Amino acid sequence: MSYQLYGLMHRGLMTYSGKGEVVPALAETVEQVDSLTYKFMLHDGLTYHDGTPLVADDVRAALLWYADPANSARSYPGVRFIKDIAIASDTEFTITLNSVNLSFLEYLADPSAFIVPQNQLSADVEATNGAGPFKLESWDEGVGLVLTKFDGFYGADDVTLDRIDVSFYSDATARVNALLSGDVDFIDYVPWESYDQLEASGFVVHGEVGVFQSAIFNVETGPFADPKLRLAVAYALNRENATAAAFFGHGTSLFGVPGSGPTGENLWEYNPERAKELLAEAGYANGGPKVHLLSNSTYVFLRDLALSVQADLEAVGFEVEFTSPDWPTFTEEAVAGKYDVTVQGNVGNVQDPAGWLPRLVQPRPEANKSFGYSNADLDAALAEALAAEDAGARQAALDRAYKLIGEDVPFATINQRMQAYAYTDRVSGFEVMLGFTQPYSVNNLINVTITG
Amino acid sequence: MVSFLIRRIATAIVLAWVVLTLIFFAIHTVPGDPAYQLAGGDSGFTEEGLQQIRESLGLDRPLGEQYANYLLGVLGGDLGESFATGQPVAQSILRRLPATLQLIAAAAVLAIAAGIPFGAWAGRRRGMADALMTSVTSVALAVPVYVVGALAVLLFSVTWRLLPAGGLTPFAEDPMGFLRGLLLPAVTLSLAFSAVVARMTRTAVIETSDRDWVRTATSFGLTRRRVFNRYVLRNSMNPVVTVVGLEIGSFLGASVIIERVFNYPGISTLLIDGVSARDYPVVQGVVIVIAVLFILINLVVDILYGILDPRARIR
Amino acid sequence: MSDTHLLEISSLSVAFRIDGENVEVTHGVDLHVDEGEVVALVGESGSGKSVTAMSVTDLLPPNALRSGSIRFAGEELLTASEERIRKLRGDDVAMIFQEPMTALNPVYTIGTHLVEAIRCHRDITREAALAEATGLLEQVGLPEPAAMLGRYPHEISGGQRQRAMIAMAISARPRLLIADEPTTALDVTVQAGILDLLLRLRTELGMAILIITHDMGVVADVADRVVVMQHGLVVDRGTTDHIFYDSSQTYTRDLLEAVPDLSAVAMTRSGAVAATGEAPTLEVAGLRIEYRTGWRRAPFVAVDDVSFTVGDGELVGLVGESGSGKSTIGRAVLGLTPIQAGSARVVGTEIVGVRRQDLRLMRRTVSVVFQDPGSSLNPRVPIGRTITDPLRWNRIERDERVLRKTAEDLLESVKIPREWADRYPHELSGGQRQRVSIARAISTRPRFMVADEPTSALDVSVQASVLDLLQELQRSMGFSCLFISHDLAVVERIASRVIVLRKGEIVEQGTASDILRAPREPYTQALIAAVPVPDPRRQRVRRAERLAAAGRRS
Repeated sequence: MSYQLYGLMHRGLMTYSGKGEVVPALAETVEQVDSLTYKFMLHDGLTYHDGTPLVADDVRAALLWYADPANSARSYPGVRFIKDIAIASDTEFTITLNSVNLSFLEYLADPSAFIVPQNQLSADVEATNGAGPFKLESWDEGVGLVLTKFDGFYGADDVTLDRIDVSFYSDATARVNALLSGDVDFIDYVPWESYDQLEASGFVVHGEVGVFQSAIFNVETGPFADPKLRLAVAYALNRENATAAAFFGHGTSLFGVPGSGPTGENLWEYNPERAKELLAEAGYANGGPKVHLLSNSTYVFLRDLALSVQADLEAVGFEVEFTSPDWPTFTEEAVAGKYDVTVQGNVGNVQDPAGWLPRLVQPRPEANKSFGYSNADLDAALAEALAAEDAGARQAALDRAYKLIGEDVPFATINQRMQAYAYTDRVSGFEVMLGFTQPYSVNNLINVTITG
Repeated sequence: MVSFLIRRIATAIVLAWVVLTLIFFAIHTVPGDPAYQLAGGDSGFTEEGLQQIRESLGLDRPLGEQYANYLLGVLGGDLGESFATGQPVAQSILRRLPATLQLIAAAAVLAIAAGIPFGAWAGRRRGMADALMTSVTSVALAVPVYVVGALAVLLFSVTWRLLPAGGLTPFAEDPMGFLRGLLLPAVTLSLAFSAVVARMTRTAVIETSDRDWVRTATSFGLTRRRVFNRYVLRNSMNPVVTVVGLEIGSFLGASVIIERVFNYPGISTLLIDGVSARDYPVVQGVVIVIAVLFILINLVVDILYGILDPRARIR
Repeated sequence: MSDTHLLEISSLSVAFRIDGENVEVTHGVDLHVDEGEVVALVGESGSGKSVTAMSVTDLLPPNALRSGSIRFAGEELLTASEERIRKLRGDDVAMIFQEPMTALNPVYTIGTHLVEAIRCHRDITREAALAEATGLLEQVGLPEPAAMLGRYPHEISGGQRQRAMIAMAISARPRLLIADEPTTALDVTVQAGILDLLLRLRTELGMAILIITHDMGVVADVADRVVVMQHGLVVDRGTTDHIFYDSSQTYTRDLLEAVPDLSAVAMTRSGAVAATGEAPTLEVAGLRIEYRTGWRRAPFVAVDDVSFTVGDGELVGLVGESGSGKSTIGRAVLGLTPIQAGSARVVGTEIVGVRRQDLRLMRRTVSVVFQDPGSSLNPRVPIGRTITDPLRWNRIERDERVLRKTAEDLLESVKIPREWADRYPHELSGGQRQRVSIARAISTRPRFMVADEPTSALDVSVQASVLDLLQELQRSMGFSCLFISHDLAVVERIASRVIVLRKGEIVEQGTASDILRAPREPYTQALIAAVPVPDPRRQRVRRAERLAAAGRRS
């Protein structure tokens, strides 16, 4: 079950509002006593879908479960800072962190950080008994599911839909056809090539940019161990071309760290001449080194981006060998560093760069970060930003981090892609969340009404 | 007859075992470690983490041991559990299998119901009728399945809004809806096959019409219609039946595309998704089921053949 | 006899529309059949007799055009509606055909066929039809009629199939039965039975019969009147006696000349050549040949404990009906079929357990002529080349110029013009093709030849000349010959010794005159008695004798 649907069936302590702000959910009030301590008070009379009461003890069990690294929870990066949860009553408790984390509450808004009965906490089985606005009526695995309104939801009065029929369409064209033919009222992940067609047919297409793509490198072995060559790539990339090629123009170019403000968003620019200069400085005045560009055949947009990158690299003198196995083989090779450069997608799970950047630059093996990259100064700057007590100190630390990123190029961002939803004009009240919260926009279905 | 059945079933078992072995070793040796598909998230791809996953899936054991375990499981009816969802593979297949069977059965029925009369008409009339049939069937054979499917959806679902673009409503819930949802995929799948059936029938009818027994029947004084139906058409069914058995195999292949285009929840999608995710138990399970299905269908065809032609009956 | 003939065909011409052109195959045919008569329509292949017979109830292919007149009981059929003709078929005019195997639908039982025929013109229940069917099968002399109903055509013998067909044909008590070569594909003893049946039914049902045949013996046996056709025209007609004894038509006389007559006693037999004193060419002892019929089942014994010899320079006839094993023996002595027990020495070489190279050597001195020259000559190769193929295969001669000359010589020796060496088989007639086969067989100057039914597929007039040729060549070149045939009359004409086979065993063997004039075994006697001779008076006597003997036996 995808995490987009968690937001319909489950709730955590916090959630995202229609516009993507972090607001209390199961918690009625939240009080930050000091930088390390948060006091929570739950709504009265909270129950799960089956009617059993939701109590503070459940919250504690759930959060501690997410904090256990063995469980690979999505909210782990924030929840792991929890030192202690002290329960005062069924509805009152206090969480103490062992380190300052200004984004802590946002981690609790992650749809996957939901509260469920303790017997549902399992890595193998999907939790179906939650505290969210809709309950699961029926589920046909891989085919679809039916959700009906849960009257015991704390905000049930505001929920306008009685029932949602969800069908899974793995083929994008089939999805679009389903909407065009009237089989469904609402679809997500509209393929970029269909935006215009759907709008021309009288449907509403509503999207925002969030998820971004970058070129990442093997910095351990091969030519890209030299930061000059990585910097050359950052200048060589023609972002506009890439967006046109992969997203039919529906995206925004990136020249730095997305969502980081003026200090972080303009680290590089499209300047092939500068790229060539850098190559010359690195010792490749007459044609660049031969590099292996690893792409994959499963996700077409990543492959199209890679093809665009290949053209850009060759334009400044690199010799590019292009391979494109399917996703599982690609993943294996990416983690093992069997490439010189590759193109990958990324998203942060919180808005704060100090929160999501570490994963991209720390030495832990990942499929979507540069292989072998490790920069102690950068780690220090980010840690400082995370632990900062006030905004000013935080920004200063972040600025340092951005400068380091601009010079050392642990990744060369290309663009942010638009993710859109499309629906019939009988649907109203749907909003798309901005930035990295965009995938959670399905949560906003609770505010949606449909006529006819 | 009994010894025939026993021999065929024994052969079927051997065949199924061969298929099982082939697919097992094939999917296990293809590059792309399934552990990577289950790792990631926020715990990264550390070697310990991956190794842990491999252990939990039993992938760290020697390949021969894995094979033996799997084989023993299959003999006991256990097809393993999906790496991705943890659900028993047998269950997932059983849930999707009826849909695939319904699709194939519907397509076969449509193809035969359309192909035989069309082919018989062409074989009987010759001339213009024959030329018409040849050109129509040529088109039906030449156009790829996905083009037909896409066009069908475009016309009937998107433009005219007569039929749903995809999905499948269970029969128990809504019989009419079920039929409406089945119609386009079944027709699309059956198109090329009905062309083959039509051509086969036409050729068989033309050949059989020359046979001596047709003249004998005419000499009895039987009506032309009766002579055609009972002495020409009936005898023409042998090659058609043979072709049906062979073509069903291609159905199973073409159904992958059908399921994609029409979002039809059958086992082919299960297979493709399984391969994409290197979900070994799912891939193995589906392939075995498809192989057994194919063998059974051909067994039925052979028995049918014996019923149709007493000369072919096994003593 | 009434004034109106039952069937009156006047000036009937049948043409076929081929590639836009009308090709006329019969021209202005006149013939008639009266109630209760048996009329024989006789001719060789291409005479148009079958086409004429089929045109009565319009069973010709769709591209056939009939002109003239066909009147049945006074009614004009050529202008009748299709529905009228359909009603006529089976009810008034029934037909039986030559190949009973293919004339019946293999997927229906005999019972189904019969019920179909019975219910075609009458509205009765299926049960009543089945009861009637049983009665009909009895009437045609089939044993266990009830069981027969449930049998499929491929499960019963040729003779039984033909009887079943007759049952279907008479089910509506037709006034006229047209029988198109009804016994040509049957063994001679079976043929006798079918002819007996037809005559009996003629009497029982008052049915007229128009029988189409090429066999003058059959004509002499059953026909009241005869019509002779050649090249699409009627060339002679009259009562049977007139045709056989008094006709002045050249064609008729030639036809009768050519027919081998079993009972004609020729004191001086210029035919057969006796053996020389040399070592025998073929020695077969205790031969046993089996065929596997599938695993875990006893094999079928085709030939059991057969022993005989063919002397040097001798022509021996190996005679038997279908299933006797004669062709199997022929193949075995050529090394083409494995032998399970016994021995066969061919030109001194033992076939059983022979080594490959020895077999190859043996094959240089042995040759074979098959029944169907159409399929034994490669249609894509000119006959001049085919003729000398054995020389090439056995590496006896390689020089193409020499081979060319040899080919032309060979053609001449079989009375075919030398210039025809570049022609293709389809440009030759059946008889000519068979001569080419013979020429090919003698190209290697063989010491031993196996001839397997070499004239069975030929017209009677052609048959005679081919047999003469064979005899002449054998005398002049001195090779021994094993002549396999089902036709006693043919064998009697050229063989010096005859071996009679039945179901894989030798029934009797001896000189030709001994076997044919004084057969000792009952089977041989019955076999000879069953062969109809082309002499009506003598045949009537033979018929009476045969039936009397059968009556004594049963």
